[in-house]
Amino acid sequence: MGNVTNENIINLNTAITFEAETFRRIQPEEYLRRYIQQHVRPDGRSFNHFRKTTVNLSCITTADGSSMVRIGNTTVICGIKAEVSEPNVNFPKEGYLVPNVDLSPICSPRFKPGPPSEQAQVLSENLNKLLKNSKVIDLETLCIEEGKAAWVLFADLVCVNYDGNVFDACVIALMSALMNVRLPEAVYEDGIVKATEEKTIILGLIRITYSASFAMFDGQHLLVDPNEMEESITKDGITVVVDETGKLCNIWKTGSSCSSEQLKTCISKARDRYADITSIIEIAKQAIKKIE
Amino acid sequence: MVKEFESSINEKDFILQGIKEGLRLDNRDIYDFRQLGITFGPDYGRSEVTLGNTRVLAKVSCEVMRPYQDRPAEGMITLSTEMSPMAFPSVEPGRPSEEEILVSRILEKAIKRSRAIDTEGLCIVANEKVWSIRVDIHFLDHDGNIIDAACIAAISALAHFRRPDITVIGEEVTIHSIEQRNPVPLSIHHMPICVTFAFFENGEYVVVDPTLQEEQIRQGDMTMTLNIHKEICALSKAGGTPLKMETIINCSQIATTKAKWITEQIQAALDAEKSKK
Amino acid sequence: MSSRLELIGPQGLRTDGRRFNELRNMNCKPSVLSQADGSAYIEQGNTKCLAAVYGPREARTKAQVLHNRANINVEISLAPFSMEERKKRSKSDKRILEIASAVKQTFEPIIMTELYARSQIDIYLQILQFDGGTVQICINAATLAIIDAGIPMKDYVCACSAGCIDDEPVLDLNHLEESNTPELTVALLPKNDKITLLQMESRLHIDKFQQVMEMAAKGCKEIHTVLDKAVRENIKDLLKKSSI
Repeated sequence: MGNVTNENIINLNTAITFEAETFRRIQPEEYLRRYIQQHVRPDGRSFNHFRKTTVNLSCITTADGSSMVRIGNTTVICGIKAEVSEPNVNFPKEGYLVPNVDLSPICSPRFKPGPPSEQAQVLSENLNKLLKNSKVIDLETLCIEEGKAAWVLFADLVCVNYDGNVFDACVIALMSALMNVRLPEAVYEDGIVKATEEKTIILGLIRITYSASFAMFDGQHLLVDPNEMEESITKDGITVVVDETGKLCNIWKTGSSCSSEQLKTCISKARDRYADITSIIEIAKQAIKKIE
Repeated sequence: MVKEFESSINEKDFILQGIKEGLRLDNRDIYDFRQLGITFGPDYGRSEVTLGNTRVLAKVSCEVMRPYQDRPAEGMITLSTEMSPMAFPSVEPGRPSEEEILVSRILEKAIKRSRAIDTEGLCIVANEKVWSIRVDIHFLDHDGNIIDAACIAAISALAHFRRPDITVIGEEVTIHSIEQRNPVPLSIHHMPICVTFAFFENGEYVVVDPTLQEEQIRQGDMTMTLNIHKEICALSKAGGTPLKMETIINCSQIATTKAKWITEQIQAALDAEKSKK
Repeated sequence: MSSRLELIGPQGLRTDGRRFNELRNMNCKPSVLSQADGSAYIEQGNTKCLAAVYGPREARTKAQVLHNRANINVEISLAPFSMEERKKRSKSDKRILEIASAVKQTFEPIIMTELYARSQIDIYLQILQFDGGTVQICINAATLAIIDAGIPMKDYVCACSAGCIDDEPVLDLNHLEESNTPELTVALLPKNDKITLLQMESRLHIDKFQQVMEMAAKGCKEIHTVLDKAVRENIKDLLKKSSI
């Protein structure tokens, strides 16, 4: 065995450097990790910062209630249409509230045209569960004539720009659109439902719930309101839904485990977020009052 | 999926050069239709049209049905234009190709939207029973310009069709068979005729009634549907090469003359059929 | 039969207060979506449409690849809350497929597809609110979005509808008017005044045809000024922001 010359030793300290954009594409996790280690996120936010949220009400005049919500770049438009139908035989005094989320190719290159993707179906089902379990509306107020006629509210949510955290945007859009719904007075006579031309009745919401979504990175860092890049890298997420009294309505936890401490942090952040959203919606309501 | 058989580059250049000089392969004038033949089948409402080598068959049938909720006193007309691999070898059965959608939309606009048939006369008992007329169009051979041929077939079949006579007494409806009482023709307001143009060289050269080979090299096309009263019932120029307004006005003038000629042909064929019986 | 609708009132004003040759209020803004390569939002009266263009990008299926030019794919979707009656129009509704096919064929000779062989350009249109004039708003929105995406085109494509009420040609019909009168939709290339799309569904006498077509062409030119202004203002904004 001869002498090992310098040329034969591989220098393990050689670092290969890339431009940031290239690094992001080949090693997205490591890219995010480098930022997190500096206590900041790639878009410049701190871990607890929600993106700028705006709400516009009554934007679709053909709908009975509508709203458009923007969280950062994620944009969701909700339109609610009311139709009359026979109530369910098992629940003759109740109307229906049917949410449906549409994630079409227009919002992001990751969606292909065709039947609703798994993600869209999951979102629709989660919204449905939220409305039912939290009893946001008393479905009996939608009844026109017991067993014969009731209002069906179709809430269609169309995502037009997908930049992460669609669920929060959908919840805010749905709640604000419900607050915005105006129904005509309906009377059931001789088998026909007659409704007035004027739409005056406002829906009474029993509870108003908003959600806050978090992404968990490396099992320890909680990132509030993840954008599309963060969502695709982190597989773990928590969504907390609270109502106006601060009570917990729903929690969804996906991915690996989290500690109860982290869960408590999420719930308290969700309560803070609730107050912020309420004030944003107040601003939106004032804006349409000025126009009316 | 079978790929459509395309002509060679030599053939395409030859045809294009001929059109530039005003000559076509079958010795027609650029504004002439091919030989139009209309024969009626043994039963009412069956008509077969040959336009050169293009062959289309139309069959009309009727049934008593419930009317639509928003039109309780009107009958219904359904048009079926399925393209089968018999005439279109590149078409997969079951999946409507883009061409089929265009063809069926143009024919729907021509016959249904222009109200060629009096649908209110098809009402038997309002809200309960109306006649539903169904026109099935079968493409037997495709040598270009199936839209015009299909339209002629559909309209002549509808004009030839006789529906069973009915008597309505109160709520009772009796449908008489053909032996009991003479069947009744449909009431036709007007006969919409489609005239298709093909454009070449950025809209400089126009040809009426293109053959399949001419269709393969065309850069744009336009279908005008008119009737003998000089009304345009439908117009469809979906993209393709842009045209000057004068070209379009010119085409509309040509289309009026052609529509008149075709209507006369259809009428002559119907009269000949009547005198046979 | 429907009762006689007063589409033109006694002072010559239409149901929404316009004169016979006035366009509806038009509002347009390019670059509204962050995920799409090019996007635009247009409002014409009460009809609202959002367009997104992705491309040129890799074709999705091998069957769609063309060896010498890019493949253009157009999809139109009508939101369920966009019409007065909620109709969940399926994607394979023939009317919508026909409009999508018309838009695709309109842009095929105008977009310079020879520059991007073997790739695909996807144009997605979402109608948020419907008050007549689907074809024209789709074409106008697609034009803006394609320009925003930076895909080279030979010219703007501007579309407008015109009709005939009481034997007088009228410009830019809303939904009420287009259900009751013959409507002609025209798409025009403003540089050389050539017509790329022409569609009409109800009966119009041939003597009126030329007048109605000329009125629609004038409307297209007006729309061209609006679109051009929006594009130039958007570029000015971009330049301001990038010159920090």
